[in-house]
Amino acid sequence: MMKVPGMFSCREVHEHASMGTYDELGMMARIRFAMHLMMCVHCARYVRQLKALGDYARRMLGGQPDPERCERIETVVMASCDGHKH
Amino acid sequence: MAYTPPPEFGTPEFLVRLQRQDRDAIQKVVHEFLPQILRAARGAGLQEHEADDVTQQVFLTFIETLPRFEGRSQVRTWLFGILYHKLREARRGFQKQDKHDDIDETLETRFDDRGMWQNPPRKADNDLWDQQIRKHLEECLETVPERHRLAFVLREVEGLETKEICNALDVSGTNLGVILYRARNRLRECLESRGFEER
Repeated sequence: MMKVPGMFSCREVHEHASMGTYDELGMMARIRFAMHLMMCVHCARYVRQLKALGDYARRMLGGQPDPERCERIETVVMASCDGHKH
Repeated sequence: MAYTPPPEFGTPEFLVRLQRQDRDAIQKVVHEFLPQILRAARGAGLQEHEADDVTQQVFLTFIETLPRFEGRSQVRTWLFGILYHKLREARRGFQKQDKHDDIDETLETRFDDRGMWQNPPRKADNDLWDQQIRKHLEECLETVPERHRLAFVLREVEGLETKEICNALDVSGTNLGVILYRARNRLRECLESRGFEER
């Protein structure tokens, strides 16, 4: 893709996407960001891949831990709490 | 979907009960947040038994320090902060070492002088990808420095806001941006080398 004056470069899009600073952009900058993604297949792919990465990580690591395990730790913590206060 | 703590946790009355180490209030907090702390400890790279121990320590420290808790941050943020300090005490990988990272050099080769892609992300074709994603992602997570991995997990898995992560990890917003930039790109580069395919 050609560098167009006033538009984000691929590198800038890459940085905003991976640093998570997109949310801090103003409305005009968000429009420029979206326009860049419409025109640049590589950046669009990069942003999709980062989103997929987050989705995969949530699916892999985001499940509820075993309730029995949690209960066991909670029991120990609360027993220590009772001991701590006496 | 963003996590919302029970509304009671944000009230001044509940804060006072916590500061007085009220058993019932403590148990509510432990019950609510223990699974999140345990999951984050595992996500940060600890083995199961290590994660259990650290989680237990986090809540014991939480209880001990409650009289000093002023409620300036949310209870959850404070707990993640204690988790981070426990991990720093226990593991060298959680020390601050942000000056140099070889992922920066890899990323330099991706762009030309005008900031355009010269080595764009690949669209790989790998039929086995879906079945192997778990193995690939686990192995790629191992390549991410532990502190960066924790930041990535807090953001992507636990859904913490920037401000919460900055408070928990004691870093500025700019530093957090750099940490997430490196973590995400290291993971993406690793997955690409193994045939990453977006869905």
